[in-house]
Amino acid sequence: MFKGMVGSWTVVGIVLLAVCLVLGAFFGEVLGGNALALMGAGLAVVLSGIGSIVGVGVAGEKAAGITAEEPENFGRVLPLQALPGTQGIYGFLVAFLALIKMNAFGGVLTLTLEQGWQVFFACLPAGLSGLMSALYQAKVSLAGMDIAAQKPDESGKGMILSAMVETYAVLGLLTSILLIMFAVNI
Amino acid sequence: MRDYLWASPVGRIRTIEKGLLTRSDLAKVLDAGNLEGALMALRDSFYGPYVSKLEHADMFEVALEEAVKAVHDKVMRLAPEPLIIAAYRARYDFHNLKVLLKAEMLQVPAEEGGFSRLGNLTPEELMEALKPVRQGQAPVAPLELEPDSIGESAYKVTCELAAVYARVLAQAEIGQLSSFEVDGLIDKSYYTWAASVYRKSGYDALEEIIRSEIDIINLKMAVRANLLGISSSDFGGILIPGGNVDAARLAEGYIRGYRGVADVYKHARLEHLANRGVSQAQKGQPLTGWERECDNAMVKLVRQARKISLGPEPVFGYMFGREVEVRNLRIILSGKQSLIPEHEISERLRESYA
Amino acid sequence: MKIRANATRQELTRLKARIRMAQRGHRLLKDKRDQLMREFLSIVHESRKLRQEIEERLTAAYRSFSLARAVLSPSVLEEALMVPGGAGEISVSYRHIMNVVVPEMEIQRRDDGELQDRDGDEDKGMLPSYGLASTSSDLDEAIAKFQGILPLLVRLSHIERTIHLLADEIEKTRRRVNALEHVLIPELEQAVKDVEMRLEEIERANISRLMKIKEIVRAH
Repeated sequence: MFKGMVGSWTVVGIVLLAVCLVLGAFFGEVLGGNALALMGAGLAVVLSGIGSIVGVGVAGEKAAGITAEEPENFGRVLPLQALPGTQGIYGFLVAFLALIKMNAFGGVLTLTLEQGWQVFFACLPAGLSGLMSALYQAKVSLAGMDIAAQKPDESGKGMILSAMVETYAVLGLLTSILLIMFAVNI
Repeated sequence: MRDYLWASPVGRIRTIEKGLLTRSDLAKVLDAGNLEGALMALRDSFYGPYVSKLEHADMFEVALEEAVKAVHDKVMRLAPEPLIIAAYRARYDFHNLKVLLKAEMLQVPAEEGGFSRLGNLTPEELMEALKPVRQGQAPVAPLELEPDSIGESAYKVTCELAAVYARVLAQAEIGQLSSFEVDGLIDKSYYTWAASVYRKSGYDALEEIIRSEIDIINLKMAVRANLLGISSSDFGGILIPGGNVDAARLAEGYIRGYRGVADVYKHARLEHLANRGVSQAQKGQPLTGWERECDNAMVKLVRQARKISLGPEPVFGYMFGREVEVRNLRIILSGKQSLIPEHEISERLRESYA
Repeated sequence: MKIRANATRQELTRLKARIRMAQRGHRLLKDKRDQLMREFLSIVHESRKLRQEIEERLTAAYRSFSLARAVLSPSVLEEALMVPGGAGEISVSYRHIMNVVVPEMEIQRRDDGELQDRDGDEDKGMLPSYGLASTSSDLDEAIAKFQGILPLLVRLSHIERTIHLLADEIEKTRRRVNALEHVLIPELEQAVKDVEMRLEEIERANISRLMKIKEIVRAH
């Protein structure tokens, strides 16, 4: 179950999340609300970033393999490689919004412990769904590249299939935005 | 399992495997009037460079062997975990080991024609590597062993060969082994080792492929052994453990003859195949067609694994596909050479991987 | 060649005896020749049948073999057939046909090899000399076919040898018969005739001499 590209990086992401949770749970008093909120924003970027890095990386390798044999296929595999990259951007967007909400650009941060946790959890949907969807989207993209390599005229279908996974990354992003905008009480 | 390493090789294989001969390509070769014509039909394919080098059409085996060797070398270079490929290729090394051992049994120099050049080691390298084994030492390790290098995988194969060699030598001293037993022992060692390599690699599809191959080989052997009247104790000695169907159960079933063999495969994936084989043998019909079905079952299984888009399976599949293809070409070409009628050739052709 | 004989009565009876002897020998040799011919023809017939059978079976066996060769790679085939399938022994005995010594050969299968009898119920059944995992049933078939032919080939070889020996013997007998019929007997008969003629002449000379003597006696 936890082996191969998807399995091992999922484990890495979950371990990271667990470490942050434990840190917050046991050392929350010491760290304070500000640190918790920043940790949440950071996780959103890092988790979805891991997914995108691995996804784009592996997909890029395969795209390079295909291009090495048939350079004219480059245009067909490039969008497939790019698709798992969106999650990283979503993570960044969420972190940015959270920072605005915290008034991080406006000077001094004064968040209570409760507010800190609120931001932390508001950021999680984008981070986690970004991680998982990027990894699985990469898999679909890899399979889509098979289509592009074998039946170049049908490569658009691979792209559509891969884009389906995007839906859930977008849902995670929306949820996080909504939570930060309306649910977090600052 | 580090499937992410295989992204680039899979990408390349996807394009390369479009060059596999399709059914209609094979049909073109089959339709040729004679051997020369059949070779001409291969001119524009992957086999073109090898075929056009031939001085004489009758030497087509040379071209086929060279083509397979080129495929092996290419796949080995592509593979980030070469042991996966080396473990498959090792069947030719184990074949060479058989030749060596038999030559030693007969106390004659090993004949060049018996050796296969497709292994990880050339026959000369193999002989060199086995020299220290006779003195009870391990084969000499290369100076530098980078992990996941071709040299490392070749060394692992060498160690395994040396272990098998030592084991056979030890047994041969106790009682004289017959050539049947030597072949059986080596085949058994190879498949058990390959299965363990694939199990450790963590690629389920590959493990399933080798397990099924063991099952199919065991089934084929059971039917043929029954036909040849081989005793159950001799048969138990050549059965290969490690398949999905327990070898011990098959050995028990074998005592009860054909029905017993078929019963063992009941509810297994090969049930249909086992029943067909047994009924063919009972009716006294030739097993040729059935053996083809067995091979086709393997091709279908590997073709399944090919759908995996990340991992060694497509690369493995490509190599396997080329080997099947070469087998088909050999059937066609040597059929043309010995003037076997076309329909008899085509009823022996295996399903192609493409 | 002419037989020289003294023109005496004794010689004549001797010659006549020789003629009778030659005629009897001639008759006997002729019988022998005919008998040999009969044997020869039946063996030739048998050999022709055997040859035909062997040819058919060999064609089938080669066919099976080339099919096996098509499926297996040459190195696998070579390896599978490296070790001989077992040892066979050929025992030779002799038989007399009309005083001709002809060999009879038989092949015996020795020890555990392929050649062992299938229905021999020893616990160690017959084993092929190659592994089953890497070979195909086409090879089993081809080898079984070749094995079936081997005893026939041995039989054919002794039959052919018999045919050679018989042919030699027939040729020799035929020459003898011819020699007796066309040379010895006519010559002997010629010699008898000569002797008889000379004896008659001597007789006539005797009579005329006697008559001359009588005339001389009467004149006195």
